[in-house]
Amino acid sequence: MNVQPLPETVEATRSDLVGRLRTNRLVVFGLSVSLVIVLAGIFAPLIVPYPEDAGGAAHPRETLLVPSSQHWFGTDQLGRDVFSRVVYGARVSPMIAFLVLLIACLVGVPLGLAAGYFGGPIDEVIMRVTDVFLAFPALLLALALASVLPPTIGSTTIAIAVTWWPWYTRLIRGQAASVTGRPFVEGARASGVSHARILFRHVLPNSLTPLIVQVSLDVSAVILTVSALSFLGLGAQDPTPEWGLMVNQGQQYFPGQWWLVTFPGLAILITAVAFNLMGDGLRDVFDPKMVRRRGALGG
Amino acid sequence: MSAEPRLAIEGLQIRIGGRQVVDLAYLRLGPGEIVGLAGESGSGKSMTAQAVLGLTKTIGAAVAGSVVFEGIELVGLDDAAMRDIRGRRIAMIFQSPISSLNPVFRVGDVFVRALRMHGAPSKSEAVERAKAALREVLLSPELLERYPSQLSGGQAQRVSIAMALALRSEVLLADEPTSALDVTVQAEILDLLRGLRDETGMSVLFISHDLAVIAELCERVAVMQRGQIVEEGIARDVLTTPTEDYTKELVASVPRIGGGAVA
Repeated sequence: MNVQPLPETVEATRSDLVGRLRTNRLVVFGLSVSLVIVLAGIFAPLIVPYPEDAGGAAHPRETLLVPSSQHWFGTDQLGRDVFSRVVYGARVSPMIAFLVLLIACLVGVPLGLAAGYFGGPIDEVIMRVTDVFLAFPALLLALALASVLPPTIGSTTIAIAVTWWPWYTRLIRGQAASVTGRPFVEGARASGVSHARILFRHVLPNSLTPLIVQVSLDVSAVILTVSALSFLGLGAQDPTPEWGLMVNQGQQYFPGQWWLVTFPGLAILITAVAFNLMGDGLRDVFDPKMVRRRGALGG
Repeated sequence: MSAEPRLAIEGLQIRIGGRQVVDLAYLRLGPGEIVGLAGESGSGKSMTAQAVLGLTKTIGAAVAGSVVFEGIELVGLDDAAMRDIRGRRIAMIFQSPISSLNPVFRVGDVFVRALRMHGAPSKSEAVERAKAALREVLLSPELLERYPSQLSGGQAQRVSIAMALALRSEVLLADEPTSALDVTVQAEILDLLRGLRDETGMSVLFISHDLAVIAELCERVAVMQRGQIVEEGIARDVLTTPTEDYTKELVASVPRIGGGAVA
């Protein structure tokens, strides 16, 4: 007698998911803060007192002012309002993170699907290529690329995306291979469904869960990488209000004019933590086993 | 037997990595006939069914020989032409009925899509045909709204059969369709298959290791061992008075109450 395996996919209804999300306070916090950051970026011109300071404006008589009611976060070495620049920064790093992850998924996911589904030589070729990319430390590869490309935001995006996609190829390949072994894929083949359709309608939706979690966790990692590259002078250039760049430029005034470094630094920290909490929460929601373990620890 | 078989397998050879796993000299399936394919695990029964639909390529098997379906040579047929036959003219049902359905789609999604893919003119027409087919296999049309995980094994197998029915498939390849079901449900599925055959003239290749089931359902039976057919004939004769040693062993291996004959 053959034992019928239970389907692996958790068929939680939508309200279930929302309910489980709500009960986890850290997740609610992470989600809310992430949302605030994104909204701040979108509505930056309406929020900040000196929108022109986000760009190349200079106010020689107002340089390095301490935080006050006029300049909440003080002003920088060119007299620009730091608060305005930090808020505008919410447009730069998250946008780069979004583009990097989008490119990484667009490249990595189809390759991983093909490798896992077809197997054999196709699998071999794709996975060996990803191995080559993974053999380099990610930051080092991004650094090398960024240093040969012109220092613009576009280059930063490309440099990071190049190091990011192989992880998704690996992740999706494993999922796709296990989904491909399940009987409904053979069933779809036997019903005359084409390879392309099986890949994107049957294998992909059943492989997505870990990808969603990984991508949301990676948002903060990309933001940190963007900041690191900018800090090293290989990313955004002045006057772009990029947080890592602002920290770099403010360094020489630290600790005397501490606000130049502190506020953009805090922005990086808060953004990274918020997106991380959100990713953590999504993992909990999609993987009930983790929730239970948490429940046992945290009550 | 009728003169023109609907499906004729001749000299079918399947190799995986240089090893011959199937060497099937001759097997025919007439219109409206139910033929059993018996044999132990690994004897090549399922592989034979997969080869008919050209599904062995993905696992790296090489197929030679001839499978003729209604005048069409299926071995070496290109993928586009093969896809048109798969599911529509030759349907297949599987051992684990629930996991043969994609868990992320509702029964109706899959059903309607299959009908649309194989020629239903509109979505509403497809839905009507799906409902009619479900009624024919004695299921409620409401099942179209359910996910596979919300079906029982018997219901899921009926859904698979209903799909073949709705597409008016001429041949049904049933790969151990009742092995995962309990005995009462098994009997219902067998009744259903027989009824559909009588009504629609569908031919069924019924693969099973369960000789009692084959004896009950099939007119003819072919017994496979190590990829070859060792004995073939009228099901009752073969299973009550087997001539080959292997068949005798198979028949003797069926556990039965009171030591009576099979079936």
